[in-house]
Amino acid sequence: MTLRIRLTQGVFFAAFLALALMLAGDLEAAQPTGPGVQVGVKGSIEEALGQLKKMVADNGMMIMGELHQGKVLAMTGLKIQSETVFVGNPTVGKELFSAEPGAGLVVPVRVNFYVDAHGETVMSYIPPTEQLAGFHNPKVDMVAKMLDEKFQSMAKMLAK
Amino acid sequence: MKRIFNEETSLSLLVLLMSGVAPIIFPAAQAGIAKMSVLGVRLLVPSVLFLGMIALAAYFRGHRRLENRLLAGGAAGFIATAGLEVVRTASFRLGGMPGDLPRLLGVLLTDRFMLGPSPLSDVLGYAYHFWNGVCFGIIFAVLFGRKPLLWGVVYAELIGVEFLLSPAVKALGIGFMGSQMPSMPATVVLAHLVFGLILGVLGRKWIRDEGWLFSVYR
Repeated sequence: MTLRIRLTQGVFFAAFLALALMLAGDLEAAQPTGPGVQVGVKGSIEEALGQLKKMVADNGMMIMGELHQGKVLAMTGLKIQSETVFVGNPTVGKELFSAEPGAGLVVPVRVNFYVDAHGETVMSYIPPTEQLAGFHNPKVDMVAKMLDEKFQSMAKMLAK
Repeated sequence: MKRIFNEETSLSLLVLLMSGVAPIIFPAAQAGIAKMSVLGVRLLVPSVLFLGMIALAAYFRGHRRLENRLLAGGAAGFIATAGLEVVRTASFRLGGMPGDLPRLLGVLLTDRFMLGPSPLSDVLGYAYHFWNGVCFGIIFAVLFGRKPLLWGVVYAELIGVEFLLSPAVKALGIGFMGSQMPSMPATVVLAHLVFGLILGVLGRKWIRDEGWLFSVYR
């Protein structure tokens, strides 16, 4: 009888611990994680992307291309929501490429929108200063800093 | 009581509506409303076709005033655009412009920005650029009729200022109205001055009637 009570207590304790760990895991994972800047944004991917497209012009940039990874991957049977846009500007590009012909590795800047495991829409990008630092070129660093500010401003406006 | 909205004025209003489509799609695309390739197919092409149909209707229904204004305004706008192009191209080749606008229009219309221009995108870009000039010429002729030269100049400069204020220039990243690249707004002002002068001169030569849009009564 005592053993049965102890076993029951043990099961309840284990269940409680498991539940507590699950909840803690959920709370911990509330902030999107990954490389670069990861920002939880309002609305669906389509809404967030629509907002970004309207904002880029105000920030002196253009959407230069799109990659619909979700749609592409659907051909493999994977159901995922992920969209990438390439944001840049030919005038800024001219400045960067004049200073550093290898800047094509970084610009136009890649901005990815995806829905994470918790159903949250996340905007992610790697700050241009991080990516362009490797060129060790003060002129490039200056342009990168300007680009960083623009992307930070847009991310802030989209953030929850 | 004289009727203001007769068939000719109704058709004229439709002309103004359809002519207004082309100049709007580039700023609308840059403002993020929709891709220019999508706006091109869904709005630009139908507006061109519809304008053609209205022109035929004006001809077959005997609306000679509207017919004259369509042809005169369109032709004047086309030639005026050629004049504008002389200034714009010269400035671009001298480094006074941030980019080659008709080629940019072409890659946006064909949705191949990341691929760069192709012969087809260049043709479409220039066609769209000149079509804009035709539309502005038609709007001027249909709305104002035969007016003094200065009207053409002021009209053209207003178009230039609108362009500098639009999302199309904002997206170039050269500051408010191109302030960070002064040669660009200077080129726009000069190019539109030439456009306005040619439009004004040819408008006076070819548009027969002086009355404005609502001056026809039946």
